Amino acid sequence: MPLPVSDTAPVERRLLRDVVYSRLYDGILDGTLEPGETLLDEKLTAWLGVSRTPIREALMKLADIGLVEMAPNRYTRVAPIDLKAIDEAIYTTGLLHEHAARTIVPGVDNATVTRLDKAQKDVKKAAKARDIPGLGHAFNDFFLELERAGENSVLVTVSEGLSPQLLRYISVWQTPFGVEDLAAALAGILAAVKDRDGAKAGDLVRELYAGTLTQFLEDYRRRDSEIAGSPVF
Amino acid sequence: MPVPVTEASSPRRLIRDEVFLRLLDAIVDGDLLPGEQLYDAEIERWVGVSRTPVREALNQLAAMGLVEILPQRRTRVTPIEPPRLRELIITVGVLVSGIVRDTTPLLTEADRDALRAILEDADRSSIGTGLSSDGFLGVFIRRLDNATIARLLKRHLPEVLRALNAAPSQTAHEKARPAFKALVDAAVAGKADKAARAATDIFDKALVTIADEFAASHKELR
Repeated sequence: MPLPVSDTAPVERRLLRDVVYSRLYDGILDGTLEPGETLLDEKLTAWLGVSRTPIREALMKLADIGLVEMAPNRYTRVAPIDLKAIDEAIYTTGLLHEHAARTIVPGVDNATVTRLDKAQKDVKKAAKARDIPGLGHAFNDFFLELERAGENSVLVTVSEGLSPQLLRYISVWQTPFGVEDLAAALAGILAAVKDRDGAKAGDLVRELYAGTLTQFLEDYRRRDSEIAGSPVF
Repeated sequence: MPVPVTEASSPRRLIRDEVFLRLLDAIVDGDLLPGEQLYDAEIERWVGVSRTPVREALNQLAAMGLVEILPQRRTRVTPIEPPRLRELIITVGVLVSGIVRDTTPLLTEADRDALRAILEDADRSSIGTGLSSDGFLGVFIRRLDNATIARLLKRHLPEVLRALNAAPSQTAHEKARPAFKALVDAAVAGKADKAARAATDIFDKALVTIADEFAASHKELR
């Protein structure tokens, strides 16, 4: 079908960029594109069959959420797995999830409860089957579904921007430890959701994420003397 | 706002950062107003650089939500939308409150002195400075040392600050003052939960009034 030329160009370009973005996003998360792998424009244009512009745009978006690293005139590569950055991102996500639990759970609708129920069951199934990527997605969905039931779309966007770090972390688990605990923790939170008990749900979320802060303080946080030399803010 | 430090900076990168910071300051300070149209040629003349670094800086500002680019049509400073502003203020408040809660036990004696000094200095205890690296927020974030959350805040705070600077009244400033004092008092006393609640008040009670004011003035315009 012939399309009118004038108005469609921005839309087409936008769609292309989004398609390229999700192909690359999935490729990085499922390991097709390996951590540290150099991303050459020519190879990507050949692989995806699109021009350079949508690829550069998608790469910039991926750099923004920490999945790609770009050093102008030097390299563009898949971000290496950085356990410190991952821990930091999961801690941050925990703050948002805890807030969502405290504020959204008291008035949560039944449709959302059904979706959370499904996500929790998926986590349990994936844990049993030792399907680690599936577990990651279902775990992530549980909290995103809760957040989407609230009215704060900025919070959802920030949370979604942090998700890939969690998903990457789970995807590199060699020995799946504690996966049953994860399903049990979500079951406890789900029970509080069904009771519309926001305080309880919030406390349980905080408990679930407390480990990332402990680990950060023990393993990753620099000593006070080092912090003064190159502060993060 | 602190200058982003770049390793191995190429000249091109430096120019882009320079353009970015000039535009960022102009938007936050209100020299470029919400909704104002931006023309590449004017920016090129103003900053004295070529098109490429200007476009790169604009893309970076667009990713922060401060600039809106409609390809082949127009580029403008993002207008203030009260519902989004309210959501943003609450979201940033969640992060800041969490940082205050979890960092209070980590504060050093020097940090406590710094917080007390900030409280006594009228300029630095203003809410705008309070939320920058020179204010109370800087003390907490640096001590926590979480680079990811620091980056997130650097990215989202300018949008809050430019709305604060453009706010029709001083209400947010006035309401923030007691909450700010409560935060410092509690943090210095090592009361993490109380300090976190005061931090939440700065956002949910003081700063949200800006969104309310813009919502009311938008209604008047209609």
